[in-house]
Amino acid sequence: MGDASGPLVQQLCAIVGPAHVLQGHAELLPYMTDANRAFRGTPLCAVAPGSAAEVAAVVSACRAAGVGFVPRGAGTGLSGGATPGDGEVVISLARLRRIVSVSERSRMAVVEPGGINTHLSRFVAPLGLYYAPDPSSQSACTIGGNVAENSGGAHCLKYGVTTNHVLGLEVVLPDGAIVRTGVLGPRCGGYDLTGLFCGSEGTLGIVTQIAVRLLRRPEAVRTALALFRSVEDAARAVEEVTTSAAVPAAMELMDAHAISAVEKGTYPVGFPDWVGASLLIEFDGLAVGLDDHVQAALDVCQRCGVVEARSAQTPEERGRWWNNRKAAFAAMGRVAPAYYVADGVIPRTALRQVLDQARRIADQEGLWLANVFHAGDGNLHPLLAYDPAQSGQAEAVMEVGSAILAACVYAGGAVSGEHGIGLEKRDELYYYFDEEDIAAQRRVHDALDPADTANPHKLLPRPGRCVEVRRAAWDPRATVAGGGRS
Amino acid sequence: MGGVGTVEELGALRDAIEHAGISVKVVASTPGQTVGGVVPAAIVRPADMDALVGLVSIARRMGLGLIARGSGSQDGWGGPIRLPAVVVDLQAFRGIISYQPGDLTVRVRAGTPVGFLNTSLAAHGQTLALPTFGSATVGGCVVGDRGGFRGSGGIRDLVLGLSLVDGAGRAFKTGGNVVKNVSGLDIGKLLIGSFGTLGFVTEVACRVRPVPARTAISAARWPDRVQALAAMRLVEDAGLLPAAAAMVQEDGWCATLLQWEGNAAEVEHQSTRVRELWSAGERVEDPVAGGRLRAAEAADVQRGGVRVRCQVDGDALSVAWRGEALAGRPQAVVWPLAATLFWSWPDLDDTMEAVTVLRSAVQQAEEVGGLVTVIDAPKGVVQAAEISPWGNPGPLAGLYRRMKSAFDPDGILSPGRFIGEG
Repeated sequence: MGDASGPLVQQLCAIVGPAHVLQGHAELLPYMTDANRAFRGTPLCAVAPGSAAEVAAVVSACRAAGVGFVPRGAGTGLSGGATPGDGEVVISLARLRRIVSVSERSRMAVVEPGGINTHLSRFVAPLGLYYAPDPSSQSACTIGGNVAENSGGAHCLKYGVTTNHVLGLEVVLPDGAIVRTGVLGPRCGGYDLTGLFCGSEGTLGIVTQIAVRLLRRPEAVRTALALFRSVEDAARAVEEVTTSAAVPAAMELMDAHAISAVEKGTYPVGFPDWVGASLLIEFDGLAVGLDDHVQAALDVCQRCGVVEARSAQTPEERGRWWNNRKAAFAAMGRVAPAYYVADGVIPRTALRQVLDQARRIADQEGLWLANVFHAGDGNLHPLLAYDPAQSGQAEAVMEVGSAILAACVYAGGAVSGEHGIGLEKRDELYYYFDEEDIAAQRRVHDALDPADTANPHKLLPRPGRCVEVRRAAWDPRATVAGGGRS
Repeated sequence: MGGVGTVEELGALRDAIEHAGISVKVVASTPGQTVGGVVPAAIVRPADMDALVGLVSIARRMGLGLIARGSGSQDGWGGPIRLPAVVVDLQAFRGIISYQPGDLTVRVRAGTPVGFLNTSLAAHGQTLALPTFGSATVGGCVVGDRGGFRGSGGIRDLVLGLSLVDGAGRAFKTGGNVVKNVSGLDIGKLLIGSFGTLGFVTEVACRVRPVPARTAISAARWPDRVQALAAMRLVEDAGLLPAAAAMVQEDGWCATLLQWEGNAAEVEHQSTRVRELWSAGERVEDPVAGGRLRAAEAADVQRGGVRVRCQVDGDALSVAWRGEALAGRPQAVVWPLAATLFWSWPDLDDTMEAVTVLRSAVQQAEEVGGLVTVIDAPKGVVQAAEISPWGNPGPLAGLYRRMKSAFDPDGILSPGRFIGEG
């Protein structure tokens, strides 16, 4: 920490109170990374403002000092979005966690960003309402973090991702001004700033209030579990079920490696040994039509070679299946010292092809790969086990992850479904975008943050690297020929 | 170079196009062809991307405004266009680029009519979950943020990615082609509802869905607005899930209309249940009910007289529906699932009367915290009423200006029509 930073820390102490400013290595340790441990930085300090006005004052002070600031929710992000650069100021939103208002008739809640995702649904449950986006980390992650990353979840096949549920925002802009958009803003026509801020990863400012849509809890839910011998059969079933008449609420696939991990975890289901892939299929809505929907989906599974399939008989059984699925990432800890989770999206018709390619890419590097993912919307989550103690393994894992993303884009997909770009995938954006596309994003960014103090270096790739990144990228033709990454 | 409006000036535009070697057809417009209450100098039809990019460059040099148009169904929306300006007809940008039924996604050229797209999708048992809106184009629905009366977020929730040419002639793409994609800053959202003021949308990738196995319509007539509203509340409180809903008020009666979608059991159960709930009303049978529903769905594209949209949530919707502050007994259409109301005085062409009713609509909307958008009014009425056709952006005005200049630094795209100028 240089002496020049002293005055800024003093200023921040004066704004939020010394008790809410953390300094020193030990205190700052939890703020040096998010859940992606590959990226790390030592912040100048971490501050926890207690109001939007304090957030604005902190932001203004950072800008005046020319120091970058990094907003942080629960730190559960997986792309390094909340990881500070050395000497930057972490702004924790943990103290801003009120539920400001709930309107039953309008089915809307206004919340502060530091509130936990599941707490909102629990709060409005007595009204028969809930908040739909449900990332696997929903019992820990914050709604502000969800907005920053435009998070998804298991049920966005039917209900959409975070941006589809955000109706308005209060935002502290990088210049310290507080503006309100959408239903929280002035009643006027205008450009969709709410949509622009969703998924902007803190690079356009800090959200201090969020108006979200609440949904009525479905009258009934039916969940079925289908067991296949192979991932290929399960993937074919996914494609056919999603194109039949009713959209399932969720469709989650686990391969044999993932199953072997979750069965060692906290919520084993007792899958038979021969299972090559499991498919969790859920429908919700009116009770009256649900059994027909489930039966239609199970009929499709029959045509695709399912070996065993049945509906959950009790809410407890359904709960166990879901806990088993949602604990999959954590269960990886039982089979490997560390794991890396990739996040790519592919067209559903390319599921079999890309899963096969991912397997080959991992095999070439001798890495253990498990697949557990939101199959219904083609959102892959390849999990790569590794040992950080072995030199070079962490880097190898990141390279394999990047090669799998290249395979996703070659197949017509995208480099992220819900974990964000952060520090991790800035260059990978060039797999799909050209320089002109990124330049357009940069112009919009610079219109709001010309000094680049809001979460600097995140989200947007460095300009001029498109050709270089693509040249270094994995090429499927090389693998077919038995090569590897070119 | 000066404006375009005289024969000589049109000639200058033609010369510049010829000199650039691009394929753009120029047609002089006729006095009846108003856009935003003014008559543009000409209608130009770029044949391809090169022509469009070249046209933007010529327009920047000539200081000529460019008004994007698909089918023209939203020509009445927004403030009066500042002249000189020409209409850019994008109907040459037509056709499906890629469609994988198994992925439930399609990428189309923006000038493709929604109706044409839905016909193509229907061959595979799929549909874009948007009404056909007459001959409206996909790109027009995107820049108009057309949603229709469904409860979902309309086209905003269907668009996955866009390609566009901005006001500086730069071509780029946003988003992606898959149903879920995080792709950097979501700048494509800014284009949705931008009314041609940020760029020409040339391609749209969107999600489609299977055609529901069954559909049905329930409809009833009521003697007054209060009873119609109560009938809608019964449906909501019973936990039924209509795919679309509308209330319509014309002289002396009110109708409630619902559309059901789902499997046989769902549709049968809900339409039976509504028959019980609405037993006090006068039942309306198909095809009359279907016709009324289609008409209610088109409330935002009908032209003539004074037409206003009011967006308002929750209990305020029912206050607005009573419309006690409104002058001159308008017709009203409500899309309850989309929290949107329309008031129309369809035959009104007297300027003084039109000013009075328009002001009363703004006052009514303000009383309920609603957002008013003028979607049609006789020439000069918006100015005479001294209201902004989009409401007052207050502190957001500066942000809208910054967005506008990031896409359209010279302000040549539909000048005067929307917000974010000056």
